[in-house]
Amino acid sequence: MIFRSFGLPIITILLIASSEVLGNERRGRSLEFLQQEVTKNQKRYRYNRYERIISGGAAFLIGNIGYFTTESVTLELAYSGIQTIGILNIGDGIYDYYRPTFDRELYKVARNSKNPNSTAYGVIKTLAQEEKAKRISLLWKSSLLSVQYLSNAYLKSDEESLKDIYKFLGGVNIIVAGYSYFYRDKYESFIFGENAQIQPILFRSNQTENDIPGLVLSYRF
Amino acid sequence: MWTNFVLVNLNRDADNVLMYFRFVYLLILLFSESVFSLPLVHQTRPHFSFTQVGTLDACGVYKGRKDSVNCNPSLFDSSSYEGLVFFLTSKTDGDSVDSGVNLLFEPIEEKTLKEIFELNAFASWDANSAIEFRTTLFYISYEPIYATANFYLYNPAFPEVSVNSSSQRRINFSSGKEFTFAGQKIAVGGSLFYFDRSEYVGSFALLDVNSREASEILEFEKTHGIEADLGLFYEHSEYRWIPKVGVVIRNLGSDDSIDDEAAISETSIESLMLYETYSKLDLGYDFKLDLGAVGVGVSLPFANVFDDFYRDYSVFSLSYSLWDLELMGGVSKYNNVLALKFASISNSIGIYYGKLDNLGDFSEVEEEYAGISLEIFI
Repeated sequence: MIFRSFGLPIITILLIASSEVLGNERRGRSLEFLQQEVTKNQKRYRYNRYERIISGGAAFLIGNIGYFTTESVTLELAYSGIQTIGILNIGDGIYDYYRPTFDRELYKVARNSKNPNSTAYGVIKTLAQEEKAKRISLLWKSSLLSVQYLSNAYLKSDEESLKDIYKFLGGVNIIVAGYSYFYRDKYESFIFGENAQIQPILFRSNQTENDIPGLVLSYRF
Repeated sequence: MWTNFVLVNLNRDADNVLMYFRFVYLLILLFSESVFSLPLVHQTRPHFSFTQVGTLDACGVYKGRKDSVNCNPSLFDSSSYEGLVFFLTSKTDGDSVDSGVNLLFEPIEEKTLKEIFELNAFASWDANSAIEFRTTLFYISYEPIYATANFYLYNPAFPEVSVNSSSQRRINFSSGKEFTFAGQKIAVGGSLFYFDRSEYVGSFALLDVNSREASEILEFEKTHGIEADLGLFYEHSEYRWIPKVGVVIRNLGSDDSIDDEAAISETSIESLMLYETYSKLDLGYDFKLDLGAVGVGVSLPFANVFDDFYRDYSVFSLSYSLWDLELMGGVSKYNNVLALKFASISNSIGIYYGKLDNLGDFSEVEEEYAGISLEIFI
């Protein structure tokens, strides 16, 4: 009866106690764990550092040759898909090239941690590198895709409906490219500074009393 | 000490190269023998995966691909991926696509049959689609469309057409296990499947179309049943000159058999290695380069369980892969194919081009074909 009444609190206390012990034990092994992860993840590629960009470039090239030479509409669509996959792989390859090796950077910060300011700087710098890698990858992807889709629309596409789809996709990618060129998130702005900034805003029109969306572009000389 | 080490390694490499050339020489001898040859001439069939399409099914030793299990079920343990995948592949060479689809999936009408007589001398279409649930223990797939339609027009003065057409639905279960001992890997695997099939093999003349009901001319025979595929794989990790060996036996328990008369006929189309029991021996090597990997394979097919050797349908295949880009090719006496596949995390698109002598030595009729495949990974 006693066990039945007090069973739940006792088990809860035991669980809390064991999680405390586990936490302390893990805290003691954190640096060692990071070091192991650094050794494990040193090589991120299968054959060559640039393999993803090269394979994406090959897909982009073959996709374009195929697209502009084939007479079959089905194969034209398939080659258009290959162009897109190629460009996405090039963008991902660029991300892989720029992005920090998280485990290694965190290990370096943890190992050299002497004062709180330099530790914070190390962590922010790693996060900033990650943000920059993502932004540059997106910038390349959307720029190349916009050029690709507009070329497909104006240089080859015979089908009017497909032409409109390519034009729309080209336009969307121009907007994304512009946005990713100017917009920098907080860590990247803090570490690498910012010359230009783009921010979305809402205007209140006096005449119609409606909100009008817009973008503010600022540039620091 | 260092010199000894180098010399020992050089000797070992020289031995390996020598043994490799001996093996290639044996293969050449095997191919130069014609005593096993059978006079079978027709071969058209869809495949279950893009690697099979791109290598003409000479992929029984190509490990590590997302569709390796379709090539050889014993590669399951070394090449299984988790997730859900949708797969679709189809020939896209114009007229035969419409005729094939109409014949197999629409009610048969006089117009459909008359359209067949407007095709090229030889036209073929095949397609396959599947949805596959993949775990590390087993794969389960449902294949709603596995279809092939072949038309051969002959006798221009009194037009006749020979048709070999079938469609099949399948539920398939695959699994396998790899064992390692003393630097050697041996793997076994299998697939068990339930099928529901309708098939028409025969011929009719243009005059028949005018005088008889369309549904009477083309009567599809329906069958269903349970059959199995069996696969074996062997690899020696230390002695690289020993080729990887794959053995696949397909459609075990099948009642289908090759009609020998139709197979050597100049006017009828008999499908080979489609629904009947057949087996194949695959041999191959992998070479890892600084930039990508190259695979080389030879596939030797046999009737039933290693009965008569189909020498004319032996295939030599080559593949190159770098990241998610794959180039593949298959060369055989009557069928040659070149295929490209590009993948991203969520999907892949493949395109293939080929040239087929569907009537083999009996006719100079040659068919150029192209097709696409699409995979979506979830």
